[in-house]
Amino acid sequence: MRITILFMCLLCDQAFAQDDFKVIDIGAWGEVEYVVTDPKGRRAGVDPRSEVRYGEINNSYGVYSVDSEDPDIPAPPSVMEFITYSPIAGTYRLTIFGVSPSKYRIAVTMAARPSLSTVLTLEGVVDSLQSVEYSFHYDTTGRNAWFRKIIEPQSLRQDLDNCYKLDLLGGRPLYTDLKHRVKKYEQWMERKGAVKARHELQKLKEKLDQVHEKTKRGTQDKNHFVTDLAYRILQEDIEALLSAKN
Amino acid sequence: MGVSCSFRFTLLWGMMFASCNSLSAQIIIRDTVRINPGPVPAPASLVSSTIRIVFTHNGIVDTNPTRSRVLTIRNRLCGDAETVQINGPVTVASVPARGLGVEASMVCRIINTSYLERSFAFYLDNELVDSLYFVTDCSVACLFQGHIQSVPLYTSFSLGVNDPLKPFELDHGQTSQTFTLSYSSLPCISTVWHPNCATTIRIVEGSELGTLVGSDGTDLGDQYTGTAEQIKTLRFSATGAQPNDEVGEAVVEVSSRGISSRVTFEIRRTAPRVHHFSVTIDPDSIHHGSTAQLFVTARDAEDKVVDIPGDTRLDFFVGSGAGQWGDLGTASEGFVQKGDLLTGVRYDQARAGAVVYVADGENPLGKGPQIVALGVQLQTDPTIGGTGSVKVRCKIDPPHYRQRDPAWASDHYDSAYTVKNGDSLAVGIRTLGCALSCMAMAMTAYGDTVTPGELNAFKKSDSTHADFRFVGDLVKWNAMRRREKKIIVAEPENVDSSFNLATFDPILEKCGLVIVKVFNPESVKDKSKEVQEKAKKEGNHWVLIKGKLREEYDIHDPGRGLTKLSGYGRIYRYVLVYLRNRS
Repeated sequence: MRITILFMCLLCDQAFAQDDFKVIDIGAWGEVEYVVTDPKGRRAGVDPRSEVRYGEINNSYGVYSVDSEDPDIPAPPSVMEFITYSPIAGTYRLTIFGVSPSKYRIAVTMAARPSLSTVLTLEGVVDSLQSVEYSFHYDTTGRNAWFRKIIEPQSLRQDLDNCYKLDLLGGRPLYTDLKHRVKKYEQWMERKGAVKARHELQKLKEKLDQVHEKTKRGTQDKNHFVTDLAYRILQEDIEALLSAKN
Repeated sequence: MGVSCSFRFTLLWGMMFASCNSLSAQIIIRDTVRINPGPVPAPASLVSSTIRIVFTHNGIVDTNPTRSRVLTIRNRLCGDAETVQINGPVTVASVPARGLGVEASMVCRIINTSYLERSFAFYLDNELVDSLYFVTDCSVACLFQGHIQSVPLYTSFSLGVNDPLKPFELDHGQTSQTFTLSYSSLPCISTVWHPNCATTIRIVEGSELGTLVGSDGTDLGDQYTGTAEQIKTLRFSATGAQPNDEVGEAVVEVSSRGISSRVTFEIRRTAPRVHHFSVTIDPDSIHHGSTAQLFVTARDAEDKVVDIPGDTRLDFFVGSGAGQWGDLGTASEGFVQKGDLLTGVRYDQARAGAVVYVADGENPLGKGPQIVALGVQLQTDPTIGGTGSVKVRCKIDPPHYRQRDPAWASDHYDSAYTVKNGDSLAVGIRTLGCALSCMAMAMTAYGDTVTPGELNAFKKSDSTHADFRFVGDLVKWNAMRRREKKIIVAEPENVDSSFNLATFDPILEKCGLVIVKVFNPESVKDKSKEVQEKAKKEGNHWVLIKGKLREEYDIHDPGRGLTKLSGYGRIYRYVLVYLRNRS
C-alpha cells in the first residue's frame, strides 16, 4: 500500500515572457544523496549504497557550496544540486538516501511555461543507508505541478525512530510511548483491523499534539518534547495514513 | 586674253582669296599637288610622272561671268632639258567663271630623280599670276610666288633620335635624346608633306613603359601634335612601369598626312622581376579592437626577396565577405587612408609595416575566430600580388567584481545569518558572495550591467520567476538570463579530477565564460580538519574563467583575487555562460 502527501502548485508565479526557461532544479540540504528518475526512466544522482553515479539525464548532479571569506563565520551547508534545462513532462521519482542520520530539506523548482514557475519544499529525516521516496510532477502547462512523499506502512515508524535518534523528540519514555502506539497501529493493520488502526493513529496524533503544544509553550521538560520539525514530519505521515483510510 | 589686274591669293585655313581691283575671286586648291607614283622606273631610269593639280574656285573671276579664262600651269623645270623633258603639251584647262573646279595636268618625263624641285608657274590667259599660295591640308600654307619660286615638298620622313651610339636603347628610368625628323623627297610617293604641317607623335605600343616629355621635362603623355620643329624638341622617357621581361619595347610613331615613321625603344628593366608579394601579418591573430601590422615583401618566382623601387605603388584590400570585422589603414605620406581598400601605398612604407589592419568592426561574440584575408597587388599590374590572413577573435571583457568591494560587501547576502556571541548577524556578500559575484561579472560582460549588490537585491525580491531567486543557499544560475535573453546558461557539470580543462577552449574561443568551482584552502585553513577535508573533496569557491592565454586560463577571482586558474588546481563543477549565436 502506498499513501501520498500531495503538495499542489497553488502559488505559481506570474507570466514570464520567455519561452525557453524550462527548468527542474532540485536542491537537497542535509547528509543525503539522491537519485532522480525522469518519466523515461533515465536517472541522475548518486546511490551511496552501491556508490553508483548516474548521469543518464545529464551530469549536473553535484555539490553546490560556497566558502566563507570570514574565518569567524562558517560556510553554509552544502547543497546536493541537480538541474535540467530541458525537462520532459511527466512524473519524476526522487529517492533520498541517508549518508548518515540526518534531517534534510528538499526544494524542487519547476518552470514549465513562460507563465508558471514554482518552488515546492519538503523536509524529512533519514538514517544511514535508508531511503525515502518522493515523486513530483512536471507538465508543460505548468499548472499541475506537485511534489509528494510516498508513504509506506513502515514510514511512520522509521520517521519516529529517526526523529528520536536525531534528538528531534524525546526523551526515551515519550519515544517508547509513541513507538508503542505505532506498533499497535501496525498490528491492527496486519490483522486487517482498519477501524482499530485508525483509532490508534488518532490517539497517536492527539498525543503528539499535546506534547508539541507543551513544547511550544516551554512547559515541557527537556526529556519530554517534540520539536516543530519532528511534529511536522510525523503529522504529515499520520495525516497521509488517515487520509488513505478514508 | 589679258588680265586686267594681277591676282593675289591669300590663304586662311584652306581659303584662298584673290583680289583684282574691284574684282575678287577665290581659288581654293582643294588638295595638294599630287604626284602619282607612275610606273616603275624603266631600265633607262626614265620615269614618267603625272602632276595633277586640282582647283576649285567659287568666286567671281571676271566681271563677265560668261567668259571662260584659260589657266595655264607651267613647270619651269619640266621645260629644262637638263632635268625634265616635256613630253607633250601641258594641258590647259579652262577656268569657268563660276564652278567647282578644274583639273590641270601635265606629264613630265623625269630624267633625274635624285632631286626634284617642283616649281610651278600659273598663268591666266597667258598672264603670269604673280603670287599664289599653295594650300595644303596643313595649317600652314606653302608659298608659291611667281614661277621662279620653289617650295620643297617631301614625300617621306624618318624619325630618329639624336644619339649616334645607341639611340633606342634605354634603361628603365632613362630619357632618350631629342627626336630627329629627316625628310626626303623620293618620287613615286603619293603624298607630300611640309615641315610646317601638323604632325603627331605618339607611343603606339608599350605606353605603360614610358611617356613623351617636352624640352622642359614636362610629361606630355603618350601623344603630342605639333610641327616638325616642335617634335624635334621632344624625348621619350622610360619612367613608366618596369618591363615585365628583361627588355620591353615601346614603339613611337610620327605621322602626318598619311606618312608615318616608327622607332622602337628597347627598355631594359632595372629591377629584378617581381613575381609576387609575401604578406606577413603580425600578430596573425588579434582580438576585436586590436591592430595587426602588415609587412609586404617583393619576391621573385623562386620566392627570393627582390628589390623594387621604394616608390612602387601598391594597392591593399580586404578579402570579400570579411569587411564587417575591421578596416585597413595607413598613415603613409602624411595622409590617412582607412577602409576596405587602400591605394597607392609606397612599397618602401608597406615593407616597413606602414599598413595596419584594425579590428574595429563587429565584435564576433559567440563566433569562432573570423579569418580575414588581406591582399596586396602591384598598382600597375594587378596580376602581381599576394595575400595574408589575420584571425579576428571576439573580445569579452567582464569587470572584476570583488566580494569585499565596500559598495556591496556589507549587503545582506540572501537571507544568511550567523550567530556570534549569542547575537544573530546578517552575513554579507563579502563573506559568501563568490558565485553571486561571478554571475554579475558574466551578466555585465554580456550587456546586462549589474553589480553583485544589485544582483543580490534582485534575487531576494524578484517575483517574476522562481528560478531567478535564491532558494536556500542556491544562487540559481538562470538568473543570469533575467534581462538579456541572448545569454545562454548551460546546466552545471560535475567533474572529477581527471577533467581536461581544454574542454573549455572552444567556448572560450567564442568569448564564452565559465564559472568554475575550485578549492580555496585559504578560507578553511583555520577550520577543523573535517571541514578542510570536506572542502577539499567538494570544492568551496567560485571563480570566473574569462579567457585563455597560451596554456593558462585567466580568471577573475572575486575572493582572493588570483589571476590564473592554475593557482587553484583542479576544478569540481562548472557552468558555461555564452551568447546565443543568432547568425
